[in-house]
Amino acid sequence: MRDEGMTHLSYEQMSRQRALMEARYSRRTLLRGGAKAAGGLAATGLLGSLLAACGSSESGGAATGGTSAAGGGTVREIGLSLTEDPRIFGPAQKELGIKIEGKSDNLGNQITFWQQNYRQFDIDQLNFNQLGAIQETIRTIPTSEISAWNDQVMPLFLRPGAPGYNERSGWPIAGIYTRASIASRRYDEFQAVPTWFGFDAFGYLEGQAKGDLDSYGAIFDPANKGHATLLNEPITTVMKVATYLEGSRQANFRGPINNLTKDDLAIVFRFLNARKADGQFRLFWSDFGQLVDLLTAGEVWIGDFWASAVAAAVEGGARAVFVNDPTEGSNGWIQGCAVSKEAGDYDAAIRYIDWSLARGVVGSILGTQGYYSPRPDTTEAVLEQQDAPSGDGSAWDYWYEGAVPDERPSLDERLRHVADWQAYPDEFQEYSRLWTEFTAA
Amino acid sequence: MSISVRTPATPADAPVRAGATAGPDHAAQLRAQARRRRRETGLLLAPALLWVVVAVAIPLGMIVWVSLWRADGPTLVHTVDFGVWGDVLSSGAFRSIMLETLKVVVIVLAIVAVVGLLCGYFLARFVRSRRLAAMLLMLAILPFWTSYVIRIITWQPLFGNRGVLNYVLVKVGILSEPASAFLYNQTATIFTMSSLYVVFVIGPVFWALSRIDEDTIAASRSLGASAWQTFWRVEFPLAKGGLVAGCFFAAIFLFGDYATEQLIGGGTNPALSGTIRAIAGSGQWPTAAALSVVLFLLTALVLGLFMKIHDLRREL
Repeated sequence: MRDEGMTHLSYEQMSRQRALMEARYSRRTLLRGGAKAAGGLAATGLLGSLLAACGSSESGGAATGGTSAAGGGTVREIGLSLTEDPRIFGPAQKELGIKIEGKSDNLGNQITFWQQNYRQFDIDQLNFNQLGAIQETIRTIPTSEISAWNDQVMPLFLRPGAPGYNERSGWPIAGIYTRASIASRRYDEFQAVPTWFGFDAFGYLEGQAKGDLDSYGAIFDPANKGHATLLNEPITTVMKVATYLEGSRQANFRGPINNLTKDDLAIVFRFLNARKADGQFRLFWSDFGQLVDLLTAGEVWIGDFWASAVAAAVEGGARAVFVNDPTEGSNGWIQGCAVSKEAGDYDAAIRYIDWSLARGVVGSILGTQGYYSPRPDTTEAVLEQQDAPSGDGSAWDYWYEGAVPDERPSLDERLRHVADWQAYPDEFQEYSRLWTEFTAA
Repeated sequence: MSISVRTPATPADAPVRAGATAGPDHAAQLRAQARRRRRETGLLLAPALLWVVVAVAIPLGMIVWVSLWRADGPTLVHTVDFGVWGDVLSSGAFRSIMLETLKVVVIVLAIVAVVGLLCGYFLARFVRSRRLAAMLLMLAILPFWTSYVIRIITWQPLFGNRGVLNYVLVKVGILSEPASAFLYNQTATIFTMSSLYVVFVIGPVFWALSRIDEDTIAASRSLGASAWQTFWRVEFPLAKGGLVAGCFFAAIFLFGDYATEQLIGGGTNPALSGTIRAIAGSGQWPTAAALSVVLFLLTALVLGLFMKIHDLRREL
């Protein structure tokens, strides 16, 4: 699960970008006007939402879809701030001769926004744990159309059984390919194309948090009572708690930890509710900026922090630490591109996705933020030319090879410690119901 | 809420009335007159009615309709099904969220009513210079020039572990170490909401009190009423419209405010509006729609009570 779209930027850059985005959206939409902006605005409004949800937004969307879809060579995408990063869309536009219109949004709004507006967009750059919620709005993609998806892709994403693959859940293969192509063992049809990935775990404030700080258990340790926090979101947080409970042998779940059964969920929430009743949690955090503020102000000591927020808090002067490989294992996640069922320019969208993997641009920008590309070879070519943050060796050695293992384990090492991959669970409504009960208790 | 429009009396009224006792011709004239009036009333109402239908009735109707759908996993089934309503009304969590939301709104309204009345009274009666009173009122409104989220976030450095309040309390020796009790709980939410919305009451109360003729107050005092009696029997009834109007608008904002709970309450006592946002955000439209209907009804209930206390239409 990524942040509000600021993962690969420093906190300062992030704030700047956020301000820029807000200004651009309020002003550009209202002043510059035009049918497209007005249509987009209407579609994001209540009426637009409902019309879209009712499956009758063609009339509302016509004003928008009509303008840019017909343009040819235009890719309209939504996602994290990556979609508006000139370091990425600049070279992509130049090399591919297409126009890229990115729109970044808060992670919490992404599913709803896409469901309402997929007719006006081509690509949803999403965390694969959202795929289950938007299945009806996207189309499958033959792997043969993405030429960069070749034998240079990490085996983890090509076939079951590679290091990092989870036998019980079938992920990440189960998230990438369609059921039919997995059943036939041809793996030749994407649900969505992975373009980068990473690992979630937890973090703490050095000197404040107590207990065994290599284990998620520290979040629930009474020594940190009243100073712990969890992300206010069911999918990833429940998975993390399940990772802890199973990893510490307190529970044996029937389902995989990224897709728990109702009985499994009852166990997780019995544990969580008891901790909440004990006063373990100071608060439930909900966005990147808030988490950075909480860490720099010392309001919370320990929790399921994002690595990027920890890095931003360190820049802000906090003694924050991110635990890369907890005893119980990390939670892998995949980000990538899903293509709208009603993409205006499917070919341009495919070329852009292919470019994202084939050129090391995306991989290297995200690489120096701590994330990985499914095509490390193209990323390596770029990162080899850059210096490591430690000053010793290349950026490639530091970020991928684990040249400074205390700070940064190698990718191979991290793949050995991944407990499972974040997914949209079959019982999502039960996850959501129990989470609401938990926060309201 | 009903809308009444008074049509101006036409000059034709006079002869009609004068001859009202005459025969069937006059009766027909009267009926024609009534028809014309109804037509005029209809025409005058049309723009407002159209707006209300398009902007309020249709969206609300659609929300009610969506609440009757069913969600099979991520798939929405467009049907008429009361299953979601059954879930929403039988869920202890949702019930507790509704009650807590109502509780917070009522407490905050009580606080803003009392504080707003006191501040408005102070401005209108104790600040002699009109200029100064207007300036003080402007100062109260000033925070509204910044974004609503900024106004909420500003309480964090004041109440946080390393905040101003803790610093002072530790410095003067009241606390031995910073307390974390000032943030991320319901009390903090109520305090912050009160500070955000009190200005809705101060302004209208101030204007209502300022409109009272000084002679009215003087008459009350010269007839032997004490300052308290004058306030309670003369000024308060005349300022009631402003007080209710202020609370009315504060209530509308309070029911919709989820950011305060999230940022200052720490997400530990979710507001109904925040729950709707989270549930809609994960694509569970029918449940979000049903909760929205509940939120609408709760808001309508509170606003209806205000209208019972004081008919705001009289203020127009």
